[in-house]
Amino acid sequence: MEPVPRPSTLRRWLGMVVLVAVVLAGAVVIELVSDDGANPWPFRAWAVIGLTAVIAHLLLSSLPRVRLERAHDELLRRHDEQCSALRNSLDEIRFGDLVGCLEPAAKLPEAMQAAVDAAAHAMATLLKQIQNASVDVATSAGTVHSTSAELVDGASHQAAAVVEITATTEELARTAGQIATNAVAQADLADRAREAGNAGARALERAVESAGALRQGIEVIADRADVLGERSREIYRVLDLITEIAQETHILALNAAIEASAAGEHGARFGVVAEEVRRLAERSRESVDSVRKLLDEFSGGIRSVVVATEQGSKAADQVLELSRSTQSAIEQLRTALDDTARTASDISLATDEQRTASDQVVLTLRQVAELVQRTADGFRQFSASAERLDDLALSIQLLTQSFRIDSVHSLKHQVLGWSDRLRDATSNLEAVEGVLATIVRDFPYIELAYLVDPSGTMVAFEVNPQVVDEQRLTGTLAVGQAYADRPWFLAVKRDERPAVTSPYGSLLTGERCFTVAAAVHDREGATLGTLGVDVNVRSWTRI
Amino acid sequence: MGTSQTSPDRHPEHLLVRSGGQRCAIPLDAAPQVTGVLPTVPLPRSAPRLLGLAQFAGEPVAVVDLHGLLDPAGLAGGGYRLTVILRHRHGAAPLGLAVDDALGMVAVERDEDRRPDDPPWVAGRGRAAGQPAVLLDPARLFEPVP
Repeated sequence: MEPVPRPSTLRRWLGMVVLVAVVLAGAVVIELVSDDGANPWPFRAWAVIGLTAVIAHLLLSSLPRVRLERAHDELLRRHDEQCSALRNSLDEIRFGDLVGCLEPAAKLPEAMQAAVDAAAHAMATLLKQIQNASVDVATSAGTVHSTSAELVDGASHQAAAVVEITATTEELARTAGQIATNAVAQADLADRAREAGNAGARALERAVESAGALRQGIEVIADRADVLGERSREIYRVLDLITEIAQETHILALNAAIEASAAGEHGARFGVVAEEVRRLAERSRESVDSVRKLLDEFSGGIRSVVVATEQGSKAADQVLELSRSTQSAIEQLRTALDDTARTASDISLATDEQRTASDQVVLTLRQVAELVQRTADGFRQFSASAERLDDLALSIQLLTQSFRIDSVHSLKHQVLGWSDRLRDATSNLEAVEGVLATIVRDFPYIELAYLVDPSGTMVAFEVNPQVVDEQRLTGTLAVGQAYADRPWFLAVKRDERPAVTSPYGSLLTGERCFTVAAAVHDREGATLGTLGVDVNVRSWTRI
Repeated sequence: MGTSQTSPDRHPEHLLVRSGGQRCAIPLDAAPQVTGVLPTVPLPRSAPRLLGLAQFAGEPVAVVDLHGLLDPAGLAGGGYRLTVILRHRHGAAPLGLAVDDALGMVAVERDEDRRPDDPPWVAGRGRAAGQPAVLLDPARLFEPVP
């Protein structure tokens, strides 16, 4: 509000002076025109009227004006204060602190305070709705992204399967062609085999006839061998008779020799004759033995002939049987070859049809593969859109996090609360670490909570083991490391307000994260340090 | 066969037989008689060398394996072709010796008397037709076995 221009002191008292001067001038005129003071009443009346006019002017004009000016000054002062409070409140709002804006608004008039409260509340409500909506969008985008990724994967597999089916069908078509070719060749072979079978059947018929003649010849030989065997047995009987006679002769000669010996000199000649007879009998027996031996060999030969003829007869029978079986087999083979040739022809026709059908299937499969590929491309675009939508939802969430509202989902509000908890613990390192441990334990989406001193040097940190791999932690963090050049530290130091960074790649997890930081003040407002928390985007959006 | 040859300067006195690979000379004094194989009837509980009883010329004849007589440890091997009938000079029942073959009348050159471990019916040993032969004492065959 512009101050109202005020008249100078001279101008403010000019009316009074003019009024007094007029009164005094009138009193002088009255004194002059009166007859030397004979009548003092006009002068006195004029003096009384003039004094009354001055007093009236003073009471009715000057004093209210002074009061009005004082009231105006007070009004200006209060106006300035309210403007300042309103500016501070709006500054807080400008920096997104919808909680901090209420504190300066307390100095505003009740209606304005209510209006600021309502505006902050409405904005906080709007931000919550935006946060919820962005979470829903992120969740939906994540679902759409994962679903579309699965669809892309499925479509890729489907495309690959279609390609494989196409290749297999093409191979099937080629195989069908080869089968048709082979079937034709098989039919030709079957024809030639049938001709060969006919020739074999004729040759086998001749073989059967020869085997029959051989069997008859063998039977004749066997009959003759039987006759020879019978003759041999008769010879044996004759030899037995001769042997018996020779034996009897031998015995008689022995007894005669004995008797001759008993007769002494008188039987000497008879003894010689008896001995000679005995020798003849002995030679007869030896000859019979020789004949018997020869006859044994002859009989053995006859038996061998009989056995050979029997074996030959059996072999001839077997040859005959086998020949007849072979003849039957060849006949069956000829029939089978006829069937084979006919079947091969049918196979050739069927495989030709199959090849034609396979070509059509291949053509259709190629169209299907193209369609599946287009579908996969569409799913990929869909997935990329979902990913962009996810990023957009994350950006919206991060934008909403640039505001501080009275909500557990407001990271700035949470960080300020944690910085208040650290206020009384900064002198005790174990207490600081305890607070940091509580933070990472209660808020699993926080990868790392840490406190740096006003110069930006790491004082203490706590890692969330549920998110961070211990092996990646080695050599990454250490007390004493300098963080003075980090954006979150510079922002907090510059704005003296909580700060939220843009997402970046975490060294601890390799995933995206962002940092929320706030200064830690003592009760006098002096800065004790800066509290930072690294929020894992994946875990945070999941929550 | 053909091993029996009557010595030209000596009169043959023995019948040479072969049994189980042994040659045995039987004196003609025992009036031997040669016949074929006689069918025998085994006697229960008899010695293995006693083949059984047979009938010859209407008389009962005890047929003994000659090889079993000469070699008590040896068993009767069979394969007999002849039976030599011996008669006791005092008219006792004849005895048959089952032999493989009879080789003829021979004169035996006696080399040694009987050995202490020989059976009592072995008279000694000699050479007949140039080959060793056991001399049989037929009379001891008719005596009781000690």
